[in-house]
Amino acid sequence: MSSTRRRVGVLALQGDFREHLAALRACEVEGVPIRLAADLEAVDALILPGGESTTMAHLMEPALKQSIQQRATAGMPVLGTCAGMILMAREIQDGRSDQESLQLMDIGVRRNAYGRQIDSFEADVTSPAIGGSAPAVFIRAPQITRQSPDVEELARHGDQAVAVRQGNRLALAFHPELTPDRRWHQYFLSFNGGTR
Amino acid sequence: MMQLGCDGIFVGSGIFKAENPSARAKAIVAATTYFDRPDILADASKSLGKAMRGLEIGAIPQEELLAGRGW
Repeated sequence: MSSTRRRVGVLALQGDFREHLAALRACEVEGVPIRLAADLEAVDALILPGGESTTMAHLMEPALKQSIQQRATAGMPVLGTCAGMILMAREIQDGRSDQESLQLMDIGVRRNAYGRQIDSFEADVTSPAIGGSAPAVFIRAPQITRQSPDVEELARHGDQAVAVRQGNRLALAFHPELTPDRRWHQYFLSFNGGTR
Repeated sequence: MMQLGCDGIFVGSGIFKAENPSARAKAIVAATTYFDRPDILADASKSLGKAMRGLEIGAIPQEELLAGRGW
């Protein structure tokens, strides 16, 4: 798989998938909207965007959920931002009792943990993963409440981990796609993918 | 609408006056999500029953007209 031919899927059922597709274009990588299981066959990595996690989980057909889980298990890199992070978590707090997750990372998250829309904020987040600091947009952001020892913490805001990595999976509590800084996407694109 | 470039579709409360609101709501969500897939659009459009019927304004009693409400 040569890096120039890399194609990255963006789950495009709900949320700010257009902004992620634009961010990939800015990184000179082809982005592919993913709506059905078959769409996943054409990509080497997947981004779960920000949006509303319950709605996204509801709109995902069962075959798509299965394919994402299988591909991720086989090593496909997955990035989840905000709601995408919730979709990746093993446990979800303050969600509907029937809220489903893809269970891609051994973390627990709390939805809307910072409060309501008026409590949304921007802050500079520093991480060795991006070689410095970058503005981060937190919109009704989730918080990581539990992480297993093999989950690597990449950045904190206050006393909260806001960027974590487990193998080829990266979860960010904020929205890197909403700022012009592309370093978080570039960091994700540096992950070595599994086989299709 | 989606094919013309809209971000999404707002569904008004008139949907509850459709013959089968639940089936129609699911169909609208499917048609909005998979707007670029004619096969799914065709499937979603089947067996929905009738949509809300339009009302002739002259047939609506004066006290039910929105135009006279408020201040």
